[in-house]
Amino acid sequence: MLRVENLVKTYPNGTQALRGVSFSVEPGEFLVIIGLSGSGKSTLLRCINRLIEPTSGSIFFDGKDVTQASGEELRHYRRHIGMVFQQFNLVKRSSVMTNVLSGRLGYNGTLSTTLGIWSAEDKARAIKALDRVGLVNKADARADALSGGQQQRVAIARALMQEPKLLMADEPVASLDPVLSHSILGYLEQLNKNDNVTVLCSLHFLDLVHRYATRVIALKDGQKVFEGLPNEIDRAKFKEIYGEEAQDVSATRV
Amino acid sequence: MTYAILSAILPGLGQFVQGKQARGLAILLAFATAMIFTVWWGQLVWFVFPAIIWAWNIADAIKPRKESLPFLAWLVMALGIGAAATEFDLGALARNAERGAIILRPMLQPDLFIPGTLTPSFNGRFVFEGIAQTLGMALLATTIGGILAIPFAFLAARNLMSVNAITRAIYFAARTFLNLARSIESLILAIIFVKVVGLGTFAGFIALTIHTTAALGKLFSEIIEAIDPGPMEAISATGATWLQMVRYAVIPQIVPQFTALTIYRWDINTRTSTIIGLVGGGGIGFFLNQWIRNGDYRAVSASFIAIAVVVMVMDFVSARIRARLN
Repeated sequence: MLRVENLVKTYPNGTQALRGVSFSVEPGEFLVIIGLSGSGKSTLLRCINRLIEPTSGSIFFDGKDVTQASGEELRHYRRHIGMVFQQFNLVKRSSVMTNVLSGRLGYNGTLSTTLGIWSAEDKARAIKALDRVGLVNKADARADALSGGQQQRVAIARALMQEPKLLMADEPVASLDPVLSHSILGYLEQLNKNDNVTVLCSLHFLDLVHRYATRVIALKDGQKVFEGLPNEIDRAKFKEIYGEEAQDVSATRV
Repeated sequence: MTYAILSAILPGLGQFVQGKQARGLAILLAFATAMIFTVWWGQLVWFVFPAIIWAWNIADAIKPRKESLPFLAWLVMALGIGAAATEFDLGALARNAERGAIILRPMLQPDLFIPGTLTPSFNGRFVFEGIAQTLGMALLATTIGGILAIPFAFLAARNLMSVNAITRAIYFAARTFLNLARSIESLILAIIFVKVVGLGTFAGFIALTIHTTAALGKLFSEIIEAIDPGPMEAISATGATWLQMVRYAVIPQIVPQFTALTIYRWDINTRTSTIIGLVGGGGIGFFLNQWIRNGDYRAVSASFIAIAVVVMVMDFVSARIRARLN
């Protein structure tokens, strides 16, 4: 469903974040991207929905090149791709309900939403999305009154409002207490298995990769250095991706 | 030795040639200003200061020295000339004590109410009218200036206007306009608008509004530039338009601070509008100016009291509201 070809991103300061990355994502996959901080994972994900403009290369979504899309075409493309962030990126002073509803902005007119008018259908959809992440009783709370794990669940509900075909998650558990990792990734897995949403997720911990990924790609210095099944990453491969000094750590040591 | 000769010819040149450009320029600037002040002031004794800087600069060219000596010499010279230029003379206060008493004695009996009642006296009525004009002018100018500042703030916020070359050009134009308009004080604007629309509160209102728009526009744009970019990114990722992104990711982050700044500006505008009448812009300052000219010092002290009460109340109210917003 998604094919990335020879993607290059050079920042204005000369940093080469991506140096020709190619891979594809098949429908229904839970594809995990691993690599050190600064290896280009975040840039790659943001290039896919064009939050960052790639320098060169192509991105095909459902067979259509979206690298040149702009205006309405770009917005309609983004609508299909939900995104969850490391820092949750909720609007802290707004209510949980408003945060979730904002996931529906791409489907609604600018005028009505700017006035804060939402259809009963969208409101019902938001309640349903909050129900799925178990936070329906927090709908009226301010987003910053919630714990980190709860905020990330609100962010998942916001992405759900887009009825996404693809859900991208940029280090979704890196800012959370490790014991919450399985809670958040469990929701993503549920969406992946029950709703057939394809997931593209960057992760840090190898045990989480083994537990959730159906396939893995690894980035190092902006280049793809591995592509394969999770159980193919053995000690040697691990050292290759993360360097000699790396030590595998466990996300959950219970 | 060559460096010393170079520095003797032109202070700082020796240091400059040694590769210490900033030091060389600073020495030249200090020496030049000291010379200019001395010549302009025209008293020979002041030459001692450029001489000290010149001598030190030669020594420094041979071997680097601490900067405290020339710095101190320059500071003493600047303070000395400043004192001479302001005709600093405490004796003048003592010599004219009698004149001071003539002014101060009536001021101890402010003319606000008819004695023994709470009915405003003839002048007292003008004090109350002036205060009402002042308060009204400040409130209206703050409200309208604050509203006008919002579109300017968005256009002058770098993080929102770095979409492409056109938006960046708009950003520079808006920022330049705000900086220029802000650099002209309300009082000066008032002098001009008194000439345009005539004496009275309206001229003061226009002056205050323009200054408020520029000052708040700049401060608002800085608030916008400091917001968390995360939510903007997240809302854009949902397929929202730019306007939707601003409405859902930017505005919720800025409203509390915009409100706090506007209330602070209301406080400042109330102060300014008490004196804007001195140049004909209406309000209590207008009456105050008349009373000072006519030597009606009882009415002058009545307006002082009224102004003090208004400023203190505004100060208290604005601090309380801002504390609750944080």
